[in-house]
Amino acid sequence: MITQITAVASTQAKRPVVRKSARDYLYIIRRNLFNSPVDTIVTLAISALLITYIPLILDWLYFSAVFSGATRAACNPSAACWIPIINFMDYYIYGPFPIDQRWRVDTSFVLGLLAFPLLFSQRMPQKIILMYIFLLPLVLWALLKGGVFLSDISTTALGGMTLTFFLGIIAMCLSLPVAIILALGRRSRLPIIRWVCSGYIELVRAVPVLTFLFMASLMLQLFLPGGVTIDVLFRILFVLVFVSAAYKAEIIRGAIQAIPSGQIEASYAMGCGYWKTMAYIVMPQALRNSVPALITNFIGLFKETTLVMILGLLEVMGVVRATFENAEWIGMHVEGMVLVSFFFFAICFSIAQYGAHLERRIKRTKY
Amino acid sequence: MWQLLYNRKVIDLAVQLLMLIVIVSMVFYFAINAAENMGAAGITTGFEFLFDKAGYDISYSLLDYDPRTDSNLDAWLVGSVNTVVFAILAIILTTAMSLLLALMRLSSNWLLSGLAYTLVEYVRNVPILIHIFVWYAAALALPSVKQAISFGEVVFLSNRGLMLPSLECNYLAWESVSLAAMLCLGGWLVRVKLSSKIWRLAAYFMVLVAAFASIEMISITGAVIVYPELRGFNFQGGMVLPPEFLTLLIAVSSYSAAHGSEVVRGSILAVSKGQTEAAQAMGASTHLIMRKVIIPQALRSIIPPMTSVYINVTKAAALGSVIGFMDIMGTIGGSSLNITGQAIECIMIVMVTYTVLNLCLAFLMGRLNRNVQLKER
Repeated sequence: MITQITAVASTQAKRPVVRKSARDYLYIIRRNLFNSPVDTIVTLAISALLITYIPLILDWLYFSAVFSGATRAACNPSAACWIPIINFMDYYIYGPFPIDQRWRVDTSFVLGLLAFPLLFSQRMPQKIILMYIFLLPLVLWALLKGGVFLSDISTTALGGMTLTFFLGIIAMCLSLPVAIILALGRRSRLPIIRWVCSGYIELVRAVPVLTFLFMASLMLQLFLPGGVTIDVLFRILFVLVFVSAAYKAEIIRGAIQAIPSGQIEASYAMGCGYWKTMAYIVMPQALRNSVPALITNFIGLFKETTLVMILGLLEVMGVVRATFENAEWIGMHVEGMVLVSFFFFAICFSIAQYGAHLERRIKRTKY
Repeated sequence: MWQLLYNRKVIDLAVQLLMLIVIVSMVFYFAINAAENMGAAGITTGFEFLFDKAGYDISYSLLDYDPRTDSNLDAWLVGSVNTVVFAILAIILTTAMSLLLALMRLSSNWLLSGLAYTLVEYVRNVPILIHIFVWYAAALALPSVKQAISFGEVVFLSNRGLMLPSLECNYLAWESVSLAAMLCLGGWLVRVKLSSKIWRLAAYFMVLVAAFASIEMISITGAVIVYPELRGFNFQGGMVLPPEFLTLLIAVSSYSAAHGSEVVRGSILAVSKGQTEAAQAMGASTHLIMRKVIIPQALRSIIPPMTSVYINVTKAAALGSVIGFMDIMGTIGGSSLNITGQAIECIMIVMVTYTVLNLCLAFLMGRLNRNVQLKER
């Protein structure tokens, strides 16, 4: 099998390289831009649009924009003013985190970013990956929130990109095991477990996340014995974990269903029980095949963390908007929104590209 | 006796019983705590508050609503109608825009597909809350009423929203139109179930009668089209779509269209190439191939994922609360909850309403899906 594949690969590599002449390039351009009269009109219209607007936008963003100065007087009213953004950059990244403790944030950023190549790598043994998934939220919590080895940081001191990363990555890691349990429960042969899991998944998917977030911030106190309070950060994390677990459960259920039932029957025939079959036969394949969809889900979750702003937690959008309530820089929301949207675009787009790359690789390895 | 422990049926039953006991005891524990806490805080329980006066204003409502006389139940109704109307308009816009973006992206023209790619990737990867804030800032930056942008003196756009002409007619006529619409929908839903031809004819006949009756009603009571007109400081007459509604509509439908266009594009690409080539060999034009060969087959794989896009659109109405558009979440789950303090009942109503709405949507889409599926005989 492997020799065959390498043989195919080598014939592909030996394909003669044809140098394209100028006429070929002209032909390609004509075929892709001026194929028909309508095509020509569309091409010309879009070019006209781009030629008029792109210079204006670039001018606003960069060429006429002001990057250094101290007060608002230094700004150019007809272009972007990046002074507050540059001045407050540290605040956007770390939020009100104590300055002498910032190394903790830096360490957790590195650990969180390391998760991606590691979590979704296919050469790593899955045991290490799973260990990392389980340990990462605990380590992040210990680093950012403290309390165990390091000094405790109050919830109000967490903000900006730190909080966004914190919520996104912890919710992603913790919701995965919950989702696996829900997915297995929905396919269980025991009716009560099946009904409970399906009911939970369907209810959570039908109701906006905002409702659950409001519930966590307003209602949870009611259900606890008097005097017990839970930190708001913990409540929000709880909601994010359990809501996104319902969406992930459907992804994983789809992947489980795609596994040929012959494999499961064969495993039972070999004398493996339910849990062994699931742990060694079904889940390794199902999880690997659901990685692209899980990455898409993670992007959605990461974008959804902005909703905690409505509850008064200052994540990246909250801190950026807060600076423009400052009397000096009031009303400069456009620059702030450009920054935040660029921040999210850069992160989500690169994760999406990585997911697409993995999807192609998974397709290639299927024989 | 010990054999019982190895009996599969006994284990199954025990596991399920254990689960049930855990869930029920948790519910009881929370309920007892809630009762104690609410008793201590002096919050009444029960659903009587629904009939009390709401006492807060709703910025945009399609039904007549007066905070001084109307109850919380009316507020819930207003919120639900707002959600449904928003959802219908946003779903239509989303569908149209996703189809357009997908076709642009599939175009052989580099510039067109590149433009669509940039738009889709940018819009898709930025949180919806940012879209809402940006579009809201844009809506408020529109010219004032005096300098409203006019489209043929019929439709006006200003920072007070979009002014549209409206059809003013008797209440009775509206009643009959909505009755006819409901009959049409009902007839469409049961037409497959009715096996005998006579019953089916009867159903169609009833729908026809209802349609005629409503047209008659409108002409008898005298319907007039009222155009918006600038008088004093604001427009009089016609229908107003306030900036909050417009913002939410555009932000949500563009965001969902970016997601939807990927669904549509994937499904169109999934239609096998041989189909297109065969149609080309038969001499069909590109337009005809698209309409008769590709789209009907692509629809089969478009509808299931599109259903979840539509459900997300419906749920996104709740985000209107950040800019002051009140849907179910803003009325009964927001202001009513804050005024009465009956959080559990209010959130329960919100959840039930959303679940019912989304189940209806899923049911309708399931129907549609069954209609377009390949019929193998």
